[in-house]
Parts: sequence; structure tokens; C-alpha cells
Amino acid sequence: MTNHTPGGLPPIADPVGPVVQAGELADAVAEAVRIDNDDKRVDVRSRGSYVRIEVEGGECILRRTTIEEQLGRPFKMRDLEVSMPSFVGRIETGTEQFRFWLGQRPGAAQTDTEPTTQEVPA
Amino acid sequence: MALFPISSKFEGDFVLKLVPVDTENTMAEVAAAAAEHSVGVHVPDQPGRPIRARAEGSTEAYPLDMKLSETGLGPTDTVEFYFE
Amino acid sequence: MALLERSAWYDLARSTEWTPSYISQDELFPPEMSGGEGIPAEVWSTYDEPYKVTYREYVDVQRQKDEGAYSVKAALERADLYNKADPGWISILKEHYAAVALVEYGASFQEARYVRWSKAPGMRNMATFGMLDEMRHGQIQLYFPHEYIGKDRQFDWSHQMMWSNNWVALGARHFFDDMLMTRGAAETSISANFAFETGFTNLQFIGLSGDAANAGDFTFSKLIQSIQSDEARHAQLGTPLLQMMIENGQKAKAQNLIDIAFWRSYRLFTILSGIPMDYYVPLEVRESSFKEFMEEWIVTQFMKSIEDLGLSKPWYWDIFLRDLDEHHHGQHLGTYSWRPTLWWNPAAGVSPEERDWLEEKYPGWNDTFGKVWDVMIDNFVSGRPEKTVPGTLPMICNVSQLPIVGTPGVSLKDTSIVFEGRKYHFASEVDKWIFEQDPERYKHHKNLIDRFLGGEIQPANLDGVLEYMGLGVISPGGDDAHGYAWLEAYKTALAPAG
Repeated sequence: MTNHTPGGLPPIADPVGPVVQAGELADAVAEAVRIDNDDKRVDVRSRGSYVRIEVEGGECILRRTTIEEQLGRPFKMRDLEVSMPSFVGRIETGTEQFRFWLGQRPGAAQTDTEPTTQEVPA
Repeated sequence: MALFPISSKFEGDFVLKLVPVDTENTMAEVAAAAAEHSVGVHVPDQPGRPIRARAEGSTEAYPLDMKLSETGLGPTDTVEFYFE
Repeated sequence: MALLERSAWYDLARSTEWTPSYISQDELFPPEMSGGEGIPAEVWSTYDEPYKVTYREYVDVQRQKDEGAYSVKAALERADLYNKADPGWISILKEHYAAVALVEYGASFQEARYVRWSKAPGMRNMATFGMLDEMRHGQIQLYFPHEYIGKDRQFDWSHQMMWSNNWVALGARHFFDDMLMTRGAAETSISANFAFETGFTNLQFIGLSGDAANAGDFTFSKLIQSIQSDEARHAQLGTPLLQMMIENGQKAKAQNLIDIAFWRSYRLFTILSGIPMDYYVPLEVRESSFKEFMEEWIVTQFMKSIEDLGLSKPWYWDIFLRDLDEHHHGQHLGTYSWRPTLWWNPAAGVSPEERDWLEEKYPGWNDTFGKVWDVMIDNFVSGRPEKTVPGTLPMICNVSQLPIVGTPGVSLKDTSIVFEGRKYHFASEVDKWIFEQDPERYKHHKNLIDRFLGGEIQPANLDGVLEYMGLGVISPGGDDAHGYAWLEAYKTALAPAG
């Protein structure tokens, strides 16, 4: 089940992104994620009452204005929280965009040494 | 004579069960007490086959006429019961 | 009115920090309350919470969440879910509210302790919202089941359970005292926010919401997702702390805290989520099996979070993966067998069709757990119902407080140690390992069997135990959710020929 992906593709590598309650906003967010990350593979998996929206490669950008365009009405970034019971990866919450990301950059060697300083959020 | 609790691990059962017995009981009597809570409750009966007891992890059964007080078992130690 | 971008003023507004001159740092932040020992003083102010929210935003968003949940409840109140839903679903509601509502209220104290004792200003600020979140969760999950009390006294456990000595309450208190209430603020945040909330609560609060919607209980579905949207935010409290520990040479300590919290949470959720998902949810509305939900939320998503921080899978990973096929099946057999000790009516979930589903999801189920059910079914069908409830108690783990179970003929075993002359029994190697991490912390606690053998439960028989647990006091104990109707298929099958 967890390996089920659209079109029978292999599981997405280093997925990050929001999990959104099924409904109008989930559809708009899914579309916005596709637009805001158009150079990356995006998987949208409907799981009944929630939708998993996952971008490959350890970074997902989600912009307020893109969601507004999809919804066709004003949207405040903070209102995403109302419908977002979970997300994959770490989060950065701004008023204009949310960013989901992984600290261990894709392809970076995983070692047992203590990691160096945290990447500073943009 | 002293009340003595053991933990019963009965072959085929899914859970360890507390079984109150007595230091003066023989291991045959202890096995019968354990069977009462497993055989025909969670484990199918195997009529005609005697039930034996051994310390958990041991391959050696206790003699049926051995008294519980002679086994060296402590309170709540786990005893394995099985159909011979 | 034009408002400043939040990022233009947020850091200044939330960094309420000062240097004490009349008292020492240790008096302001006593190590036993604040925790995080060994992290240099100047590092604390670098704590940067990833999920930023202002009070104005918080109030606005929370109002919307409450409005959503309460309006769904109000709209569906006349739909008479109680009489229309499958009785197995009603049992899930009884189990959930009792196991969760007061625990959530308790978690507001956990967050309040960060507000006062955390040495990181950003954490104190975010924890204030976390504290308000948990109050909301306590209140809303007492209010929602209240409409059912008039219909069914077992719903009274929503408020009473955590004050009782029911065996589930002993397990829940032991767990939450250990994870939420009795460690320093920094350590608690790793156990509770990181391991418990970003990991396991998703399972119940999001996984089960799909089953709820399928079962027609939109009120519950909406409620638990609404709650989890708070958790998703304040659960982030732990991540920067983990980062700080790792960067300051405390990676082993961080890993140890996660390894303890992960296993303890997992075992607790076998009761809360595992049994309902695989046995109580009506077959036709099941979204996924417990194991599949675990693979989605824990094995995949949560493990990624752990590894992203540069930490490792717990040392017992292989044991854990095997356990996903085993433990909750044993606990279901146990809870169903000892159903008079429950405050809900368990669904058996083992009709011929349900057994096919179990065999498909858990190959080998019929030849192991199914064999035990065969004996119970034979007793029911042959008119020996008294043989379907054991006449003694199960042995109970001194860490998880759950019965010591295993796969019949495969993995049932006792794991025990003698510490300071007292014998302790554990439900697994990992539970024993947890005890050994800090025996001083765990050694005094008496599990139900210790209490029974120590004469604390009188009369010392099953009736005395039930009364001690609150059954027949707070409400009647549990009985089969469907009034044994599921046995009809077996009666036909087993009817003597001719």
C-alpha cells in the first residue's frame, strides 16, 4: 500500500509536503504544489479523508498567491493549518509561502559523525 | 503449605497466565491447575495425553510426583506446560 | 490597515529573555525541571522554532477549527449515529474518548512546564500555544461524547477512566507519567512532542479519521483531524531541541530518549489503534490494516524524520517489524477474552469473511491466533460461554502494564529480571531494556498482578479485581459488541450432520 504510486512509478525519492484534509482546499493545494514545483515529480495520493501531497527531492514550495489562483478567492497562508493535520519533512512557515524540506540534503553522504550546523532557512 | 503463584506458559496459548498453586502440590497437580485455565479455554484438549511441566527454556520435564517446593522455582516464575 | 510582515517583527516579539541578577541561572531554571543539561547557556537563545505563529494568527485559526468541528457535530446530532452505526464503531468511540480526553488535558500541564521551565525563549512562546491546544483537546473530547452518556453509561469513562484503576488506566498513567510528566522540559519535548506526537498520534488521529468517514461518523472524523492539526504544529517543538543536543555532543542521549519513547508509544497504540483498526472497524469500511497504517505513518514518514536529523532507527528495529504482525493480535485475544474488564464492548471481528481479511493482511494468522479463536468459537457454539472468559488473570508487563502475549507456538515468552530482590516480568526484550535504562525510575511501580498478589485488591478474586478496576461501579463491563450475532455463521457450519 505504501509503495503504491500513481502510474506504477517507483516510490518517490525524499518526499516532502503537506497532508491535507480531503476537500476543495486539498485539491487547490495539490495543484498549487504542482505549479510551484514544476520541475519536480509530485505525487498526490488520496487516502480517503486525507490527501498526501509529496514532492520529490527533499523540498516543496507552496505559495499563497498560487493557492489563491487555484481557489479563485483570497487565502491567508496561516489558514492552511486548519486543514493540515500532518506534513512530511520539516517546515518553514511564512506569510507568503510555506516550505517543506529535509535537512539531510538528497544525495548527501550519511555519516555517523555529528552533523555540522543546521542549514539556515532562507 | 503455602499459596504460591506461578506464571503459566501453556503450549499453544497466546498469553502468560497467573496460576495460584501450593508449595505442597506435585507437579502433576500444578499441571492440572494450569490446564484448567488454558485447555478448553484457549488451547484445544488432547485427551489421553498427559501434561508435563518444565522450567521455561528447559528441555527436561519435572517428575510428575515432584513437589513444587522441591523445584527451586520462585514466586511468579514461568513454567512451561505441554502435552507429552 | 497595512500590517507588517510577520517575519519583520516576530523574532523580537517572542524573544522574551533576560539575564537574572538576583538569582542564579540554576535557580531560575532548576536542572531537574528544565533538563537539557550540558547544553551551553548561549545556545538556548538560538532555538528557532520551525512552525511560527503569532497570538493573533493562533486565535483566528483556532476559532476556525472549533467552528468547523462544532458545526459538523451540530449538523449531525439529529442523524442518530448512536443507533445507526455499527456497534463496533460505537466501541471505538468509547475506547478513544476515555483513553484520550483527560490525557490531553494532562498534556496541557506538560506544555505549561515548557512555558515556565524551558531555557529556550522560542520554545516558551510556542509552548504557550501548545498548552492552549491541549486544553482545547481535553475540553472538546469531553464535550463530544457527553451527548452519548444518556444512551450508554459506558461513555462516562470518558471522564472517569484516568482516575480509575482499570488495567488500561494503569498502563496509560505509567506511560504518560514517564513520557510527559516526569522528565526535564527538554527531554520531555523529545519523548512527547517528537516521538509521540509527530510519530504515533498521526496513526489514531488521521488514520482512523478515514475509517470514521467511511463509517458515516463525520463528526468524529472532523474532530480528530482538527485536533491533529494542532499537534502537527506544536509537535515541532522537539525538532530544534534534538538538533541542539546533537550539535552539542549529545546524540547518544537523544537517540536513547527516542528509542524509549518510540517503543512505549508503539505498544500503547497497539491497544488504542491496533485492535480497533483490525477488529472493530466494520470490514466494509476499513481503509487500511493497522500494519499498513503503521507502515505509512511510522515506518516510512516518521523514520524519515528521525534519519533526517542524523539519528538512526531504534536498535530493536527488526524486533519492531516482526512485532507489527503479532502483538496487537494477542492483545485483541486478551481484551476479548477478559472482556468484563473493559469499559467498551469489544467486537470479535473474526467472522469467516473477517478471518479471510486477517489472513490476507497477516499471512499465517489462521494457523496461530486463529487456532485460539477456534477453541473459543467452539465453546460459544457448543453452549459453554462460561469457558470463554478465563478464570484467572494474565501476567502483566512491569513496563507497558499490558498482558504478556505472543504468537501461539511461536513467540510467547517471559522476559524477567530480579532487581534488588524483586522479580520483574516484561512483555519483550525491549521493555526489559527500557527498565534497565533507569531502574530507579521504574522499580517502585506495582502492576496489577503485584497489587493482586500483595493483597491490595480485595476480595482477592475476579469479582474483587473487577470492582477495583471500576467495572460494575462506573459502568457495567464489556460484552460482545454484536451480541454474538457473528457466531451464526459458525453455528451453521458446525451443526452436526443430519
